[in-house]
Amino acid sequence: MAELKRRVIPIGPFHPLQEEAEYFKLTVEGEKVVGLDIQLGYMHRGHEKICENKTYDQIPFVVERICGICSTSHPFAAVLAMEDAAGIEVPRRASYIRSIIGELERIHSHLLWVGLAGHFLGYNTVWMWAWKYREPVLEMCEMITGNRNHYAMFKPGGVRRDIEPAMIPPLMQVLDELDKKLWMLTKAVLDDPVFHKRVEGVGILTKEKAIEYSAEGPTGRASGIVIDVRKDDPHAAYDWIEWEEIVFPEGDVFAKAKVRLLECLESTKIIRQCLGKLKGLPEGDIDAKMEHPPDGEGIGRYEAPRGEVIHYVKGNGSMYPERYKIRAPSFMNIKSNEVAVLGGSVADAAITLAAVDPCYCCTERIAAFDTRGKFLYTWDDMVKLSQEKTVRMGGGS
Amino acid sequence: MADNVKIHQNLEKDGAYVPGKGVSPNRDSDAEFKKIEKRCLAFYSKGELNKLRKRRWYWEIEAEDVVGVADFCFNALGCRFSIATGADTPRGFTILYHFSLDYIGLMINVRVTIPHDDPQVDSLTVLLGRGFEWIEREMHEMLGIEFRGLDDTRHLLLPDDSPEGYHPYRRSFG
Repeated sequence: MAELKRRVIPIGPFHPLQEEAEYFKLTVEGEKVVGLDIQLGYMHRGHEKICENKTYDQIPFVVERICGICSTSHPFAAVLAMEDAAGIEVPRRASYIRSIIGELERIHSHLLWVGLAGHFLGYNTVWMWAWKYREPVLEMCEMITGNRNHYAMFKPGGVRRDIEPAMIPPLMQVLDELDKKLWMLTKAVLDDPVFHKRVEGVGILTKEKAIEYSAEGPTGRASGIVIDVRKDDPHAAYDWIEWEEIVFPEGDVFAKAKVRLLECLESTKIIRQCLGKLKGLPEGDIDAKMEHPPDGEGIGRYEAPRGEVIHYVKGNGSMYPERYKIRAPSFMNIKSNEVAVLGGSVADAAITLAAVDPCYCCTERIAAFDTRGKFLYTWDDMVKLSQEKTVRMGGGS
Repeated sequence: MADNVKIHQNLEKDGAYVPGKGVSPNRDSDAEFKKIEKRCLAFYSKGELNKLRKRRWYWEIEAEDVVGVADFCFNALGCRFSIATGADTPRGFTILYHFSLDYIGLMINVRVTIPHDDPQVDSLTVLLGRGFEWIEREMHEMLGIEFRGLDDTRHLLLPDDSPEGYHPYRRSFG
């Protein structure tokens, strides 16, 4: 038999399968993937450097823009870091509200992933369903914060808006409806024979490799590592309520799907309990003000939908931090793809690469650089290009 | 690397991790924190261990011992490597390696300081694996720190055609 030649299949930087720009260089022998090189840098905006020129009050709003899906994770970790550095105790009521927003975000982020996973597999019904059920979650976010995304709720020392008692019954009602739909979706997806066949045993990240690569969040939990910052490093309200972390040992894409789907149900549990506890607390006590800017170091970490987000802040007593470090979970998780795709087939590469729920905007946030190069396209040029493409495809006018 | 896996298995046997419950029975026990502190100091006494908060320790060590201490945290204690923060300070470049001991939620931050005129430090990828590669590449391009033993020094985030000596994270930049 002739020896198989090695070939390179590029995925990206811009590819219909990916929601953001990233370049995966797959080396294949026949159908089998034997190597992967991941190249970053396409979404890099320089948030760390920007934060060094913002005051502590402004930073939560800046870092909220790092990611559009898990937009509350970054401000969450940011305020925790500042509170750690300044030694502030947050009022209980604010802690419950923080957890509610965090969990709402987890549900809509996981549902988004489930939808995309279905889409990657050519299972578009799941995609449509998951995104349909995501809608009431976004509406709940809007009820509580005023925004469907980028909630702007966090500030060092507390939150900016209260959840009034009158809001709780309608929220509970939506939650009950949501629970039913989530159960239905979870059962439908996990019982589906085609879905089973397609993702079981695909893209296995073994526990050994997950530990070696320091994988975390659902990626780590689906490989059997018991790790969840909400449990391990108590913050917000997570330590005062009953919930379970979801862990599966298999490490394949199916396990990751199970973790995410079941976590949605845990999240509704958390939200329901938090809303219940809010009733008994004095109203309006949602902000312990940060009187002085921190002088010293602080680390905040929060379990984002994709894993642990870490913000490190070093203050010097002035209004501006001296150093601000942001690390999103995908930074560690995407790297673990190097081993997860090996040995699989090219057809499975797409779902395996997507299984960590990669968020490139989060991964590439660090230091600023001025481009010093020439401007390639203006906005108008881009609009024109886009319109031309539509015409080429036979549409538009 | 294999050691780390073994540590995790042992921790599970000891009941440090309870799948489905998450919280280790020792998570809040002061004795467990004392035990870890003792082990740290027994392993490396030259440095200075500042326990700034209960779950946030900062450990100042000599730059040449970084591989040993990181190996101790990663493989002997069973920490997870969270990330490293490189910074340019008036005293030199500092690298803060954040190691997370998950079953008690402790973060051990190992700090090394390296001089401006000779920014070199041993790479952890050689001994501890590829999980450390990206952040070292990031610090390499952003701060211009040389990691001895890091084989892949391509740009991670900056454009491939960034000029030589272009380190946006230095204080002297811009």
